[in-house]
Amino acid sequence: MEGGPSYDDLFDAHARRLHRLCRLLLSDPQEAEEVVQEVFLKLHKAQGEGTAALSWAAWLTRVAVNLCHDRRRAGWWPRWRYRTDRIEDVGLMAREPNPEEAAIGEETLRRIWTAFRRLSDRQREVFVLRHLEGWTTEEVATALGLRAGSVKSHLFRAVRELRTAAGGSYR
Amino acid sequence: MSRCLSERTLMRLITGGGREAQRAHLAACDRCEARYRAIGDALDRVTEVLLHTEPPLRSPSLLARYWMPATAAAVASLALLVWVEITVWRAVTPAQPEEVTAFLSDLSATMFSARDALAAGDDGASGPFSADGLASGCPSDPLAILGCESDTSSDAPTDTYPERSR
Repeated sequence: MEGGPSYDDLFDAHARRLHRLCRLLLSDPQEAEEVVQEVFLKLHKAQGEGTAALSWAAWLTRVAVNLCHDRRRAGWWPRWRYRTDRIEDVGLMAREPNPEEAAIGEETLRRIWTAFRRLSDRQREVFVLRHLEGWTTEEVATALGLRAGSVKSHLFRAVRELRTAAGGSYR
Repeated sequence: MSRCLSERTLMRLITGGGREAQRAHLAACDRCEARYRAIGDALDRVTEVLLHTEPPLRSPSLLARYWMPATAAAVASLALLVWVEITVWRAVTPAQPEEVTAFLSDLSATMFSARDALAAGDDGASGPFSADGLASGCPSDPLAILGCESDTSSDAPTDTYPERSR
């Protein structure tokens, strides 16, 4: 592609971020890995067809979020049938906490992750895109095919749950 | 707007909602502004955790992991139980009333034959019970099951029996 970033550049710049994003949305590292591979397959195809995107980062994120959404809607049977824990994910040995984990505290950490997992799929998507990816409400609404008011509503509920988990009162 | 904003309103403002008047109050009120910042800090903490920490390893309980096969097994067992109840158990049970009927008829036949034998003993005084009846002192009930007629009936001829016992 003329002037645009190459496939390799985009892979190096976004693969890690997309993997984390998919892992947050799917709660399954193996599935997240598969989705990221699919995203870059689509990128390869799109570049081959000469698709021009204003922002490849946003394009990649949108494709990843949609693929995660499709995965979750695929039904419970394939997800349950092929659900396995890879040996490296089982955690045979206790892991040393990193500085962030040590600073926040084990209990708060556990509460935050639990609250995040309890959010609905939509709430999780909206929160991740808005707060972790830093998108605007309008961008989130466009990417997810929702109205801005609906995005705000999902975000409010997610924030309410996560704020309680992170510590602090809610009245 | 003088009243301080509720936590809910502050969260609406932080997620892009709320009204202009509420935003104006937030800009003017130090207390609300501090509470607003506290919510922002909590969300930053959440973002930090989600970005830089690993999710704690889940130790799924056996029930959580195997609830589907367990439910399927329970449903299958229930279906089997119902099938056994309908086909096997119901097929066996009709024999039961017949057995009860046979037992009752046997019982009544035995009882009535005993009565007939007693009646025969009374009439002739030469039946198989007569000697025992004489021995027990009550010819109407030699086995002492039904009660002696002389105990219940006062007009029975009493003068014949003492002679017999003698």
